[in-house]
Amino acid sequence: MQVDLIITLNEDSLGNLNSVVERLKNQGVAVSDVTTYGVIMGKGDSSLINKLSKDKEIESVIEDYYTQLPPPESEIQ
Amino acid sequence: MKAPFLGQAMSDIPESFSTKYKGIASPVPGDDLENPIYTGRYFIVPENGETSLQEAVNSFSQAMGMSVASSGDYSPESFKEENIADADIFLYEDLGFALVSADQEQVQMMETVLSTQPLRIEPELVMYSIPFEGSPLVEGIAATNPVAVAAGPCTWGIQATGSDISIFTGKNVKVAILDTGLDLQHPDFAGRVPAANQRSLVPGLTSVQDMHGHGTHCTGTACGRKDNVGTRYGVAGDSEIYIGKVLDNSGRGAQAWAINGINWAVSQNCKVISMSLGAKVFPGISFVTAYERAAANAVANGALIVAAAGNDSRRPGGQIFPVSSPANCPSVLAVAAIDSALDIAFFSNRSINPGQDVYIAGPGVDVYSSWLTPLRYKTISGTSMATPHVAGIAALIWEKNPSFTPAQVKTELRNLAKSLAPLLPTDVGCGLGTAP
Repeated sequence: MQVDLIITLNEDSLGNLNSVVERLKNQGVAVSDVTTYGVIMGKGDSSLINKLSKDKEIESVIEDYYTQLPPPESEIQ
Repeated sequence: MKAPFLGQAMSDIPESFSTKYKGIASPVPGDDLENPIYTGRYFIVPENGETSLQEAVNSFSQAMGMSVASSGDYSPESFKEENIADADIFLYEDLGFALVSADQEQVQMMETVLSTQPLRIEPELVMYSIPFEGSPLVEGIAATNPVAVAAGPCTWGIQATGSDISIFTGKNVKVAILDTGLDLQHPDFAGRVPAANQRSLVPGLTSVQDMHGHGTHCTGTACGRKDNVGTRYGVAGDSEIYIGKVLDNSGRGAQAWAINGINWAVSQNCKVISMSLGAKVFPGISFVTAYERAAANAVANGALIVAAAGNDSRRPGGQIFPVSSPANCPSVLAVAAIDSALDIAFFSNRSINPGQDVYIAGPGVDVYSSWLTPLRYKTISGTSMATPHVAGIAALIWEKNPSFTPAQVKTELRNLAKSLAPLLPTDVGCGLGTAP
């Protein structure tokens, strides 16, 4: 199943950002955003979460999730 | 037909065509009809069974070059909104009303024309498939503290934070509000948010127009001035407003949108980034690494992020939750909510997870601020309302001390904070945010 992924590099690997992004693309991540501080966003199969978590240059991989405000008529916002 | 600014509306309406348009035309039973939110489209509805609709539609088509589609061209079973993507007006022939996609100028022209005819134009309401079910506590608060209009020279929050007696107004300080956007038609913000200061980070939405109300309320508290009768409700009334829309019009947003919002605010050299949004965090859970990296990058680039500690707690029942995400990031200042008696708000979260602490508190119960037009003002509660008070105060500190780093502003917030003892630091951090 395709999911939205947020991938964070180890700070020690920031110098390899471009090569890591290329590697992610080759592994099937459709990269949409790359930040200079090592956060990479994109879409990919949910199975990639476990696989990429074992990558030594990656600190964390999570599936993006949505936050939800209460509806406008709620007293508590 | 442009797409509506949807809540969970269209996709949740039953598929049959007749049910579909009846659903669009009517709000959810029990919904608050005094505070509707709109999709950005309009209905033209005949009064008293008049049948001049077709003529009116034809005249708009000719006068303003609007394209028209009709329900007679589609079978109810095969109809999809995509079928009328190019239409400006969709005529529901058998029901005798029309759905119109038009800009403000066109709507005003239509209103003028229709005022002389037995037809009226009215905004399309957003529907929610699941009406909000407040807890008994929430309903209790609603019952004892009805939506009210502020009276006097300023709101209680402006007074409690000393913003009303401060000589600072946030002048020349850039403040980013990352939220549901801003009602760009609101007269209180006329001329204050040029297009260059607006960015939607929500895929598919180009405008930052707020169709929820939450972002307009938060912007008002942080950066607003006075209401239409002279009551001051905003902390940093001369700050430069930057609106990053990171929540859609149903108030829903992905973390990636918020991270992109932080990056945009940093690229605009904003000094204060206010985030009245978050997700519930359970005990034992860490902060989100990507959020922390984005926040740390913002701090390194000279910006301070304040975020809502969260409303997950129900204190009279003994249920207290940790600071929510992203306020629980070490590089973000978490803001708790207090009421006008300077007591902790029953919903405000607490420092529970190690290193994920409440830093400061702000006024967050019965907060009066700007809301979507035509209502214009509304009183609501939440750590979402406390957060922009502190964001505004940070802007005042930066006006006073333009060379301060984010760390210095953070320290100054602590130095200026008013003690809320005997409230616990785990609930209110260093105390009530107070203006310089």
